[in-house]
Amino acid sequence: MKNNIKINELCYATLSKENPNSYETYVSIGGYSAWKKIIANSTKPKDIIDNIIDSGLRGRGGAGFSTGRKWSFIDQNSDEIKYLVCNADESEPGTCKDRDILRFNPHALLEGMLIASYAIGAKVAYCYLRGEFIDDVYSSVKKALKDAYQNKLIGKNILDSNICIDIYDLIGAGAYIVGEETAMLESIEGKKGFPRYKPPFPAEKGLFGCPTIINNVETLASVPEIINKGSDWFNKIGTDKSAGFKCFSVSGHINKPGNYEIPLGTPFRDLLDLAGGVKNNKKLKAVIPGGSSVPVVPGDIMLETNMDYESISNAGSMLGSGAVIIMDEDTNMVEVIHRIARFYYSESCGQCTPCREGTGWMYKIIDKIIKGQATLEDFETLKSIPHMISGSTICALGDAAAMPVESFIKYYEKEFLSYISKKT
Amino acid sequence: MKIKINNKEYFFEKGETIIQIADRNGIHIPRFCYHSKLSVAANCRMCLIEQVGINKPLPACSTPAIENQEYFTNSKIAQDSQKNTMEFLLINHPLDCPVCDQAGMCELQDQAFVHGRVKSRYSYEKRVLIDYKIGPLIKTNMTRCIHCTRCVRYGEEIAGIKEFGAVGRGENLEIRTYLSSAINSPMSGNMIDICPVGALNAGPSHMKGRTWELEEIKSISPHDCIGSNMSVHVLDNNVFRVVPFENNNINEIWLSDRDRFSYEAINHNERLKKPVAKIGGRYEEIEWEQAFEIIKKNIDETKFGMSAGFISANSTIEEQYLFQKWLRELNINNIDHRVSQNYFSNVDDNLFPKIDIPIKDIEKINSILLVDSNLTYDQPILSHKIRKAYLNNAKINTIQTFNYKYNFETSESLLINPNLIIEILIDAIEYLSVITINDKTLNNFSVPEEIKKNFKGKGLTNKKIKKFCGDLLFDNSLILLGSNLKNHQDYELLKILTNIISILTKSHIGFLGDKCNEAGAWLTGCLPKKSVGLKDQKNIGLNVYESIKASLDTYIIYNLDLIDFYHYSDLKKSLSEANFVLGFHSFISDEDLNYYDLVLPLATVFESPGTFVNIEGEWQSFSNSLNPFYLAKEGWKILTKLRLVFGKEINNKFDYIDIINEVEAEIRKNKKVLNINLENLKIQKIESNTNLIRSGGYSNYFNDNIVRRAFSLNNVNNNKNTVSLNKKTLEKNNIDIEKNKVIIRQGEKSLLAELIIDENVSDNCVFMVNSNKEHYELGKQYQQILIENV
Amino acid sequence: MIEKNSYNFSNENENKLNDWILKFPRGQKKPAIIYALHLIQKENKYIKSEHIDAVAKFLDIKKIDVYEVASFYSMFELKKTGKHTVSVCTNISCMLNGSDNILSYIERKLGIKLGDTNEKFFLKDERECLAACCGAPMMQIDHKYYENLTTEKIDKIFDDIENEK
Repeated sequence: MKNNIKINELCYATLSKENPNSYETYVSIGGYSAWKKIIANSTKPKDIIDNIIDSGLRGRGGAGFSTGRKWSFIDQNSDEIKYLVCNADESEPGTCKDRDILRFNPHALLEGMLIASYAIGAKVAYCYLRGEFIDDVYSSVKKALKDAYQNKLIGKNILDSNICIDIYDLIGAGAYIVGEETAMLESIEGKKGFPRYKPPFPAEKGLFGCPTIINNVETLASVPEIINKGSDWFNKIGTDKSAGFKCFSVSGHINKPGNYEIPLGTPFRDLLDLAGGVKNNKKLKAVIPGGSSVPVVPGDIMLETNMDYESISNAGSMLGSGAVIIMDEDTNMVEVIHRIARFYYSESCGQCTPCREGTGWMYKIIDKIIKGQATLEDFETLKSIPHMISGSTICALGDAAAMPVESFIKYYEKEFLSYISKKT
Repeated sequence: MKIKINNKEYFFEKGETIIQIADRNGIHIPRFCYHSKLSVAANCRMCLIEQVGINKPLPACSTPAIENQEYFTNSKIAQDSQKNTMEFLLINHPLDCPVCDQAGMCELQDQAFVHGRVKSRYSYEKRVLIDYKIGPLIKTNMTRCIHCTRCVRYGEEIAGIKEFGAVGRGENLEIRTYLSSAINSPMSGNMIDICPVGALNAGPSHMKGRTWELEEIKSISPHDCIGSNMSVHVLDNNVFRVVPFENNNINEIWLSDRDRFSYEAINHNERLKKPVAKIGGRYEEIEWEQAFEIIKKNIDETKFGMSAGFISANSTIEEQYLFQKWLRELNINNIDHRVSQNYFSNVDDNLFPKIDIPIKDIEKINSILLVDSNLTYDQPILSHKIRKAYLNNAKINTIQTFNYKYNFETSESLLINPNLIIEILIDAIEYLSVITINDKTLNNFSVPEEIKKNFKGKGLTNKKIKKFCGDLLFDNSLILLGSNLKNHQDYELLKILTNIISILTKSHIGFLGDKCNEAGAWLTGCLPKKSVGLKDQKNIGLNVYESIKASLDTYIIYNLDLIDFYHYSDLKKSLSEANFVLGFHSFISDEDLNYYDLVLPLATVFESPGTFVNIEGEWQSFSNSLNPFYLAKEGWKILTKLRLVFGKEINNKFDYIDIINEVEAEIRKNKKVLNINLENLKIQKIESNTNLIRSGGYSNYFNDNIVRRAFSLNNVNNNKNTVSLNKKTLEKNNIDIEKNKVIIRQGEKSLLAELIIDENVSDNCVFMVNSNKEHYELGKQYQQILIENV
Repeated sequence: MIEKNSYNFSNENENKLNDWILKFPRGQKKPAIIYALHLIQKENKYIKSEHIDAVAKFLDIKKIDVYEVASFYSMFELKKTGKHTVSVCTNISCMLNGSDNILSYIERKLGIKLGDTNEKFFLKDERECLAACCGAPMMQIDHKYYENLTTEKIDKIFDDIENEK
C-alpha cells in the first residue's frame, strides 16, 4: 500500500536531487516558471487569489485557514503600503518540516513569496527565521536570496518588467511566542514578542501599521506548483476539505523518523508504515498528531484516523503543524506532560494574566505530582486550571498550554493518580 | 446605533468599545489594565464579558460594539472568567494589605472582595521581586505588581519619556527601569495614581497614614501658570499627599511632580511661627499687636515717595488686591510684582502673561513656534498638551539658546546665542512683511519704522526662518515665549516682536509665566503704572528696578525670598541702607532675616483661601486645606487689619468673601483690553556681542519659595554644580577640556564647577541651571560671565 | 552594576548594521535591535550594559527598549558565558529518545551543571524545541546542529572542538 503514496512531490521536490538547494536544481525541475509566467502575462492579482482559493490550500503553520481567503482580506484598492511576512519561526515542539524546506528547497519558498506579494500588492516581503537557525538554515536562505536577486527574479524591475518586490531575511533570537503572527510583527518592529490583541487583524493593520499577510513557509512553498499545475490538480489531491500535500514530521518512538510529504487524508497507519513503524516493535500507546500544543490521541484511536484536518479533529485533536509524535507502550505520560508543561511555562510571554500565572501553576503542580508530593486536592486544582486559561488569553498560547494538560489527564488520569497514591 | 448590555438597550457611536459604553452608563466592569487615557493593552483579562453567540469571553476594553449585538457583563461566562482572572492575579500577589499604602483605594483589593476566593489554592512560594531605588518621589514595591503595564504605557504615551519597561518574560516579567535608573519625567507622580495596586507608592507619604483617615480639600496649584486642579489630602492638620483633581479644561487627570510634592515645604524649618522684629540689634519673636505698632510708627515716619512695596506673583489675587490697596491708601505708589524682570523700558508694557487660546484647545493646534522655552520642565501640563498636538501631527519649531529636552519631537530648531534672539525675530518679521504685503485682512497693520530700520535682508535668505514663518502661516498656529526670558535684558521687546509675528501670521500667542498668579498681579494693579483692572494709574510710581536703585527709606516685601529678585545684589545693598524693611513671609532664611526689621508670619497657600488667575484667564478659587502654622495668619487678614490700623473704616463683618466680590466688581468695572503699544518703541542699536554670556534658567524645583524648600523634589536632580559649554566655545576660551573642573566668574564672585562638554549649548554661552543658592549668589543669567582653567 | 566602560561598534559591524537598517521603512531603526544584539553577542559572547548603551545610542532609541528586547529573547545571554554555547534539546521528541541521559553525559563530561558555564563551555538551559525532532536526540553548539547523538558521537564532537585552534 505504501508504494502507492505520492511522497515528497511538492515542497520537498528537490530533496532527491543532488545539490537540492541550488538555484540550478530548482530551475531544472521547473522552478520559477510560475513566477515568470505571471510576469509575462501580467496576470491579475485577483485571478491568482481566486486560483489559490479554488485550490483549497490551507495554512500549514497550524491554524489551517484558507490561504487564498486570507490574501483576499487585503483591500486591493487601497494605496497603502502592504507587507508579506513569511513565518519561518518554526518552533512548535515536534516540528522540523520547515527547516528542511529552508535548507533544501529555499527557492520554492522565495517563488511562493514573490507570487503572494504580487497577489496582495506588497512591494516588500520579510522572511523571519527563528534565531536558532542563524547558522546552517540561514546561510541556505541567504544564498538563495542572492541567487534570485542575481537572476533578476527579485528586486527592482523584475525580469525587466516594472514590477518591484524586495524580499528581506530577518532573524529572531529565541522565543516560541514569536511564531504567533502578531508577536512576529512586534518582533520585526524591534520589540518584545508580545502578541497584539485583535481586532484589528494584520490584514487591516499589521507591520508598521500597514496591511500585512503572514504565511507559513510550507504554505508559501506550495504556491508555485499550484500556479503551474492549476488549482484543480491540487484540489484533487487529498480529501474534500483537506486538499493537497502536507509535510509531516514524524518523531519520537519511531524507526525511521523524518519529514514525509504526503497527500492529506492518508491513513495514519500508512504514515506509520512509511516511517518504519514503532521502534523496537513495541505497541503504539499514544500520538500527538500536530505538535505539542494539540491534545494527545490514544494509539488505538489514532490507528483508525486519517491524516487530514477533519479526521483528526473528529479524533479529538488537531492537525496543527503536522508534527506527529509517536509514543510507545512504555511511555510515562506524566513525564511527557511534565516536559510539555515546562515548555509553556518557559515560553509564556507574560503579557496576559491567565497564561503568565496559569502556565507556571500547572507546571508546579505537575512537578509536585512527579515528585510524589501532591495530594488529591492538588490534582483537582490542576484539572481545573486548563478551563480557567482556555479562551481567556490574547493569543493561542494559553490554549496551547491548556489543551495538552487537559487531554493527558482525560486519557491517562490513572497514571497521575498512581503518583499520588504512592504518597499515601 | 444600539446594543444591548444585560438586557437593556444603549446607544453608541461607531468605534466605541463595550467598556466605554458601560462606563458612560454606569455599568460596572472590573478592570486593571484599561485606563481611559491610555492605549488599550487588553492584558489583565479582568474585564472579560460575554458576547452572545461567541463561546469564549471577550475583553470589554478591546471589543468594539457591534450594532444590535447583545452582551452580558454579569452572566455565568463573564462572572466565571472574572473570578478566574482574579484567582490568577492573586496567586503571586502578596496579601500584605495591612502594611500597604494602597489599601483602601486599591482596585485589586476591591475586586478581590467581590470576585475572590476565601482561601487560596496556590501552595507555592509567591514571586518576590527586588525593589530598586528609582528616586525620592516614587517608592516601589514591585512584588505587588500585577503587570498591567499602565505605568509603562503612561511613560510612552503621556509623559513621552519611556522609563519603565517590562523586562524578561513569562512569570518573571518585571516592570522596572533600565539598570534601576531614577525616574526623570517631571510628571512621574501620575504613575502612582494610575497604578491599580500598591506597587508604585508616593515616596514622601510612604507608610505615613491610611487612606480612610484622610480629609480631601480641592485646591489649585501654587506653581507655574497653568492652574492645575488638585485635591489635598489632609491628616491631623498636615498635608498627607496631593493628587490631581480632574479638570478636563486644564490638567485633565494629571499633575506635575512639582504640584504634587511641593507641599513638603509646609513644615520646613524656616517657617515663621510668630512675628519677628529686630530689637536693639537682635531678632526677637514678638506679639502681633506689637508688630502692628512698629509698622504704624515706621511707615508714618517715612516721607512721601520714599517707600516701595513688592509682592509675589505667587500670592493670591485677594492678597495682591489688598496689598496695593493698602499701600495706595498710604500714598505709596512704588508698587511692583515683576521682581524677576531684568530690564524695564519706557514703553508702556501692555503684554502680560496670557495665552489667547483655551488650554484645552492647544492639542488641536497645527503649528507651534517655541521661543526659548524649557516647556517640558517649566510648564509640564502645557507640554503635555503640546505633546498631544504633536501626536496629532502638529509641526513644532523652536528658536532656542539651548537644545532643551522635550517630550515631543521638534521639526526644526535654531540654536542661537541669547544676544541674537532679537535679531532673528526681526529677520522673521522682515520675511513676513514681504510675504504678507498683499494680505488685505491684516487691516493695514504696518510694521513700525523702528523695527524696519533694522531689516538687513537676512530674513529673506535664512531657510530656517522661512520654515518657521511658513509653518506659522498654517491655520490655527501658536507662538509661545518662554518664561525664562523674563531675565533677558530685552524681554519687553521680545514680547513686542513675537506679538508682531503673531499678528502677521494670525497665530495665537502666549507669554508663559513661571508663577501661578502673574495675571492676577496685573489685573489687581500691582504695578507702578496700572491700578486695579489695568486702569492707567494717575500717580505713577517707580518700577521694581527703579525702586531698588533709588535706595528708599522703607521697603515692604511680600512672600518673596531675596533671591527671587533679578537685581538681587542691588536689592541687598538698598535694604541694608533702608530705615525700615518689612516682610510678609511664610519662610525666612537666617541670611535673609538680617535685612529685615520686622517679618510677619504668613500662612502658606495651603493654609489660606484664595484665588489664582491662570494664563488663559481662568479665575479659580480654593479654600484652605490646613489651619495656619502656629501664629501665622492668612495674608488677607493681616492686610485688612493693617488697613484698620492705618485708620481705614472697615465693616466689622468684613470677610474673605467680600474681598473676592470687591475684586471681581472692580476689575469687571474697569477692565480694559490692552493692546500692543508700538508708539514709543525704541530699539537700541543691535550689536553683535561676542562676550561669553550665562544662560540656563532655573531648576524647575528651585524657582519659588515653596518648591525650593520641598525636600524630596530637591533630591531629584543630582547634577547640581555643573556648567556646560560647546566645544567651539571652550576652544575659543582656551579651556583645557581634559580637566573636568573650571572656575566661572561673574563680577567679583566665582564658583568652582564641573565641566560638561555639550553641543546642545549655543555658541559663546555658559549654560548653568540655577538650582541652588550659590548659583544665584554668583550672579544672574543673561549677564556676562568668565570662565577660567582651575 | 553600572559599568563605566563604553563600547563602540567596529567599523565592520557598523556597516553591517547600517545595511540591515535599509531593510526597514525609512526612519525605522528600532527593528534593528535584535540584529545589533546578535552582532555584539557573536563578538563578545554575552551582552553587557555598555553594549545596551551602545545599541541605544547607535539606533537612537531608549536604553530600556533595548533592555526589554535583550531580556525577552532567550538567545541573548546577559551573564558571562564560556567560549562555546552548548544547547541540548530536551523537549518532547528528544526526551522520548533519551535526551535526559545525553544531557547528564554532557554535564559529567564538561564538569558543569545545566545553566552553568566555565571558560570554555556554557551549558545553556535550553527549554525550546530546536526543530530537528527527526534527528533526536540533538544539540546545538554555537548554533551548529548535531543530530542523532550517542555518547561516542558526543565524545568526537567535543574532541574536535578541543582540537581546533
